[in-house]
Amino acid sequence: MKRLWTIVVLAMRSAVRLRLVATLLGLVVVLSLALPAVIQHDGTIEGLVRVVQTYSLGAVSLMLALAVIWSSCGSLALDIQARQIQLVMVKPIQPWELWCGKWIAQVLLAGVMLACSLALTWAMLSWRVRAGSWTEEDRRKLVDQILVARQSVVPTLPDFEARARARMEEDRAAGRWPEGLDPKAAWPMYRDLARTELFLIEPGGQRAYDVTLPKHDPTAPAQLEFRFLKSTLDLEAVELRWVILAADGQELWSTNGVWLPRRPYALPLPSHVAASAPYVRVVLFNRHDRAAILLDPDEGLRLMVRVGTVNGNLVRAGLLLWVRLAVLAAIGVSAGAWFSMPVASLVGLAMGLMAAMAGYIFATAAHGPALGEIFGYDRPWLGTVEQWWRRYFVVLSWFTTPFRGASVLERLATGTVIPWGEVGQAVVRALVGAGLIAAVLGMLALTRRELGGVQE
Amino acid sequence: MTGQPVIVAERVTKIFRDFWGRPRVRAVDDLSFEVRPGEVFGLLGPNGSGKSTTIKMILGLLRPTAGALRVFGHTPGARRVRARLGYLPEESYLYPYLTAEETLDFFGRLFDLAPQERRRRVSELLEMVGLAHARRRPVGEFSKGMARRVGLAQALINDPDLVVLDEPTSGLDPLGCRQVKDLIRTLAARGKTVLLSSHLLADVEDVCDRILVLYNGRRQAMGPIAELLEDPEEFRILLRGVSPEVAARIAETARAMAGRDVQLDHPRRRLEDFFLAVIRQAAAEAGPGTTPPATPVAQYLAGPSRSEPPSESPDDKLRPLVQPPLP
Ligand SMILES: Nc1ncnc2c1ncn2[C@@H]1O[C@H](COP(=O)(O)OP(=O)(O)O)[C@@H](O)[C@H]1O
Ligand SMILES: [Mg+2]
Repeated sequence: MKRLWTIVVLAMRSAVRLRLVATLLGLVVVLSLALPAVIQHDGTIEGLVRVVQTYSLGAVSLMLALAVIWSSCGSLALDIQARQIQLVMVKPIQPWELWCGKWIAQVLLAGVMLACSLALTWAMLSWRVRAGSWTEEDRRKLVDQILVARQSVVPTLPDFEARARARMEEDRAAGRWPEGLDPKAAWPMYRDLARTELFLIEPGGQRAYDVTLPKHDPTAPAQLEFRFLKSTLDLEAVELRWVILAADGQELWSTNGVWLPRRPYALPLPSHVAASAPYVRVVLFNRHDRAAILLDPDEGLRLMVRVGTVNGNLVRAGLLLWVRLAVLAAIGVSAGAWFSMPVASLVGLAMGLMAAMAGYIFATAAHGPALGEIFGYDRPWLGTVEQWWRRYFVVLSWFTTPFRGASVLERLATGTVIPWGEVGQAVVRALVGAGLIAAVLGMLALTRRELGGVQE
Repeated sequence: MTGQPVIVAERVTKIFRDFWGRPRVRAVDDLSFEVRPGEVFGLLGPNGSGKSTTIKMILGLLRPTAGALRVFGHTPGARRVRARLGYLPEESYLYPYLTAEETLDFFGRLFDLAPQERRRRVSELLEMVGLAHARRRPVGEFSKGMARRVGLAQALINDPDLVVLDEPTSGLDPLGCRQVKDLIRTLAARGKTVLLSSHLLADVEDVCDRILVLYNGRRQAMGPIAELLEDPEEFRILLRGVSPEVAARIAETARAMAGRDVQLDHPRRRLEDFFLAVIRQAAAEAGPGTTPPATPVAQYLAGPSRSEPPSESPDDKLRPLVQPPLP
């Protein structure tokens, strides 16, 4: 254990004395302070928060990711290349002590940089939205809607899969089935269709959605968010009526209005709506006589309730980003144990890219690449290709688990909660997934590789 | 020199392969030898003969392609072995951003030395290798010889039972070479085992008990140095303080008894002895105070059971290896 800390101290010393820390801090300051000052926003207070939190934090975290990859790759690769490792490995140190020491140093450095950039961004933001520079209304919006940690709640849907299955069976029995079409390939389409139908409201029709609210702050204002499409091609506004009922059927709130298709809307709800938790029913009336409307099935209808403070959210966002940097560091240190600096950096960058594409990788691993949609469903060999393609992405997804989940910065900027559970999950996924694989591979390199074998 | 051999190499071969696994160099070829406790064993050979490769296999930094190696009865690279070992690589692979003191402290920590003991050894060793004045300077700024001295100090921080020195005198000035050689003899006198490699014949001749001559990775000769160098057919008589005439007459007598094969000449001093004498004299003439004070070998290395060092002239022993800067 003592040896491990000796290595940590050595690695930290090298980062400080080789000016790595100073350079990175300089970059962090420039990106956190200068970038939001020069980027134009749309003049609204949400726009400002978004610019500061997504652009500058986004730039900082990208820079930190690259810096962590590069410096962690170097932490063993350069020692091997310059052969100090030959002096270290003949001392009674164990491979895991060396690997963990190098890794912990990288994680600590990344943590310091990340904390600095979060603190700077936060200070910058507090200054830009200070009292006096915005109207009272803007400031209220900031406090109520933006600088908060809210959770969006979507309706609980009735069992649409049974209906989809029944309809698929019906089509096959009735002979409405292309020859050679694999039912497995057709199933997602039936399922999605049945689900989408739940969000369709005929002209003059209505539909009710049940929403179960999580544990939240009942005194804070809630919001109804929606976005819809219209079945006719014109883009004229549609008259709608919203009603929210309590569990006992009593009306809690209602409103009539005209809204444009495709635009996101957020209606503030009085606090007694939020206070009537845990269960409410939202009913939507389509008052148009010719056009059907379709709510976006994924986020077309949501209730937003406050579940925490922005400070807590900031901490959790920081931890989540830190876990990801720690995984990148683990991959970098191990890549540096196996490969020379240039090769290791490339491996690290490739992993970083994969992390950035985690969403796509998970979607492909779950649903396959949907080759049928491109080449048609009537080629039997396509199924095999698709299967292998998907398996390949399943393997890739093992390495990207810690990077899974909605964008951290996006949620920070929109006041959406980042739950503790997600932080814990990311840690566990990092520990048993990519991080562990990287660590084992790295220690294997230190035991298996001939460290004295660098060509003289 | 009895007891369990410290190093046993049995038919050790090392073949370096390229990326595709094709053999490229046979650096060590079917090499067998033993190093016994307390002896100074020399690997002698020209550049590229496989000395460093052999040493790295003993340290566990390389694995033999064939054959078996045991160090203190264990596989090379075992942790127990590493705890008893000191290694000076052929070049000083130090962290350039650490100071001399931090470097030694770092390696001391890897041996888990107690803080107090570590501090003591670090300062004694820095004193011994003559770098006490440069202890706070980063080793990246050091000259090759100075870095070498840090490397040497680092190899002794754990008071090792087996000291492995790869070309210990390379990069050192003659004074430094001499100091290192004396240090090696001191270590041996304390019962430590020393394995060193060199292509400098004088070094090996001065300090080694036994040598192994390598060429192309193969063993060419091995044995006690006295035995290898001594020609039992030849005799030499040394005369001191006689006139040339007396010497000529003695030679005449010898020729009369032994036949034609008698030579008469002046024995030459070795250049090293001459150089050291000149330096010593120059230092003495510069007046008292400029002569560096004679510093003993680091106290803990000298040990309680320190026997008389085998050096001819005790006064030039182990004073600082470089001159401290003038005040
Ligand atoms: N890592 C390595 N890869 C390939 N060849 C090597 C490597 N290390 C040493 N060699 C080769 O092995 C031979 C012996 O090298 P070495 O043991 O360093 O010689 P010495 O120390 O006696 O000068 C040389 O031909 C050298 O080129
Ligand atoms: Mg060599």
